Amino acid sequence: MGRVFLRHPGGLRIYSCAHCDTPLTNRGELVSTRFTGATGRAFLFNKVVNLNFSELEYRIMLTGRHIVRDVSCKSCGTRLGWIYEGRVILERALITESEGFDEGE
Amino acid sequence: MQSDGVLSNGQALLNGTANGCDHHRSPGLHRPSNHNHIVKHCNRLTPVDADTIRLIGQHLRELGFHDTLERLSEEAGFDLENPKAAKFRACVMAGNWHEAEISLQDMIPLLADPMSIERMRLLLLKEKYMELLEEGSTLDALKCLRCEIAPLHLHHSDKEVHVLASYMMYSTKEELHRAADWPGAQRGARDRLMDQLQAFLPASVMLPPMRLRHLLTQACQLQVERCPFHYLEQDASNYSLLTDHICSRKQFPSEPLHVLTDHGDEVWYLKFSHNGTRLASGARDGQIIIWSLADSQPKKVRQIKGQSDGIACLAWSPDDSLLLSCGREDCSEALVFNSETGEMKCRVHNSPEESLTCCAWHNDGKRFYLGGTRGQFLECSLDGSVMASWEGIRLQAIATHPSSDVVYAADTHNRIRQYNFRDKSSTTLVQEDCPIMSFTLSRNGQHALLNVTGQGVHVWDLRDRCLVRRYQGIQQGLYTIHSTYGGTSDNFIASGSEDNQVYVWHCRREMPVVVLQGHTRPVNCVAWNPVTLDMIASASDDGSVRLWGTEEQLKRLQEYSKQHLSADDEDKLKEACADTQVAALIYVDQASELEAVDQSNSSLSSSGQLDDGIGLHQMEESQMAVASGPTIAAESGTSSSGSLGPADTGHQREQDRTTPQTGSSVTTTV
Repeated sequence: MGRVFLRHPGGLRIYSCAHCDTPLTNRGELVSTRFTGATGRAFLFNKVVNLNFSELEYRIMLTGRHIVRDVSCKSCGTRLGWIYEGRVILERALITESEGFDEGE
Repeated sequence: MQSDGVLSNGQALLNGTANGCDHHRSPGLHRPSNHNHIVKHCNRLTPVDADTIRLIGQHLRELGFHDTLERLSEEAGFDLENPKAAKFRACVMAGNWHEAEISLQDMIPLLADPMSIERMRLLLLKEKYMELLEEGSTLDALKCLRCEIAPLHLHHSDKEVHVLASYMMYSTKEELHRAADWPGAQRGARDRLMDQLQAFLPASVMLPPMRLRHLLTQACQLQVERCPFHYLEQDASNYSLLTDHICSRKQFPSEPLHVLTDHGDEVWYLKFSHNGTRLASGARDGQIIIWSLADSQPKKVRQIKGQSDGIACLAWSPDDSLLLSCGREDCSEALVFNSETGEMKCRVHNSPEESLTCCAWHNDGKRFYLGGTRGQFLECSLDGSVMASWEGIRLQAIATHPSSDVVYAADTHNRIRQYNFRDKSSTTLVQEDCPIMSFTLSRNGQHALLNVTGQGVHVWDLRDRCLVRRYQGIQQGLYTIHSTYGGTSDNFIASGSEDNQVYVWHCRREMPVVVLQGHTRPVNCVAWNPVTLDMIASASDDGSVRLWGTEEQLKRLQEYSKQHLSADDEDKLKEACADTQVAALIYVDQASELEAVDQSNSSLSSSGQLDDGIGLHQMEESQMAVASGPTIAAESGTSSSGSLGPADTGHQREQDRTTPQTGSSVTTTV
């Protein structure tokens, strides 16, 4: 594939793909930390960039049978989480947190 | 009554009853002579016809066809020029100033503004004064100045009188001419005076000078503006008046001339040198190749190892001696190479956490700018050291102005801002709704051409800070696509696209004028030769760099190939051609000289929409290229070669079509 265009969410604390360091989202978009995924804890974010989506599929989870759409990193393709009610859940083990900086305006 | 034939704009003529002419059946019209047997056409002429005849009359008079003029006037049945105006002109051109003034008084009822008569008188008297001075009658000139010019109490006339008085100081004609900027009575001063006087008279009384010629020039200019393929500057005098000017598509670069497959991997970027003689291309495997365009076949002259994760951006220094290259998001160094020898001149590398993905040279060639999405925005000097750094901004693309000190950069907030490193000021010029992938400036630095994710190609005016136009047709959203200006005055725009095609637009029309087909994977970057204007280059994920040119160049290339084709090749060629599905024949040469021309591909669908019924460009040739020690790879089906990327092009294209939708980021409405 060509040179994939990657956006940058900005912000003071940035969450990136653990595999390739592609920035995904930031602390400001964090909604809840009380989710659980296949690898353990997972966070719910409002807006996440640089993702690819899979097709809808049925999945049995802790809370029952759900229809989910998986998300993966646009740059390296590793699975990162899934979509829930229009927002994105990213599993804690698959992302890394790092410092951002104040971007002024 | 003949009053139907009365011309509305000839009302002025009706008032003129000069020379006691007898009135015939229609008292309203002035019949110039008593040649009753000449057919008078004035009755059936519309006002527009009458105006046209007056224009023709003026043109004939300017060319000196006085007899024809008289005859035309007789046949038309009306004076081509108001007789008073004609008399006035005759007096002025002959230098009879006294009669000129008298006939000027006669014309008062014709003037739009009766007060302007004073100004006209001043002009006449000034000319009279200058001519008297020129011929040496200083005393008469003085009298004219004192008794005729000075009493005219016009605004500024006192100052004028002083200036005129000073002209008496000059002893020779040449000095007078130079000082007063006055050409002299024999050399067109009176014509100039007439032009100035005409400005005060309504057009129905006296036509503006050279009116017909002016209208024809306007029409030619309009045709040029409307011409969809007008990318070369042409001498205006070559435009024939007999047919509308329209450039043929044949002289527009729309035929594939060369396919260069020396890169073994996706080619992500390419750029012509400023003098148009070389082309630099960078690929995913980090190889940079410099091609020379001096001969009829492009030749690879240098291969340089750049950033190993892929070359994202290349920039030629203003004098083309150095080449700057940047890698992808995770690359923290920028490299500067000598473009002749391929040696590395310097390296900018500060910390491995940094990301330097976009670059641009300052117009003085002594410094360059680097930027990336991790917050680096650096000004560096030729030895690789950082001169200045702008904190706190994440950049996607940088460009510099051709003559001033400012730097333009597109950031992650969908803006383009202008930065001045000297006084640390910055201003926002462009605000888009979607992320900006790349942008370039026009040659005059006034416009910016942007590739906006999912939106296509936009042009902004940087001075007025507004969007000028959006160009339709391309497909983009997943990959970084680059576009370019082209044509003699940047009046054309070309961009790559994810549907494997190159789109070319005229800057004034939203729909593409030409869509170039031939690549089998997304086209990442397009460059247009700034000097040899009929050359376009495109880089694609299929690993090839294609050069496009005019039909004439293609024919010449085929002639050259035919002469060099050996008998062995001809047999193979015949075999291959027998197979109706053959789309491309490629000869791979040891000296890495490669050419291929593709046949039209019915399977490649056209997704571009074109303007004015100009059909989508289809490549129809099937003739072959040169080889010396050839190994021929002939493929059937869609155009592709064994040495290029995945052959399963049909499937690939399908995928590329759908990925843009899945590639979008999540935005929620809560």
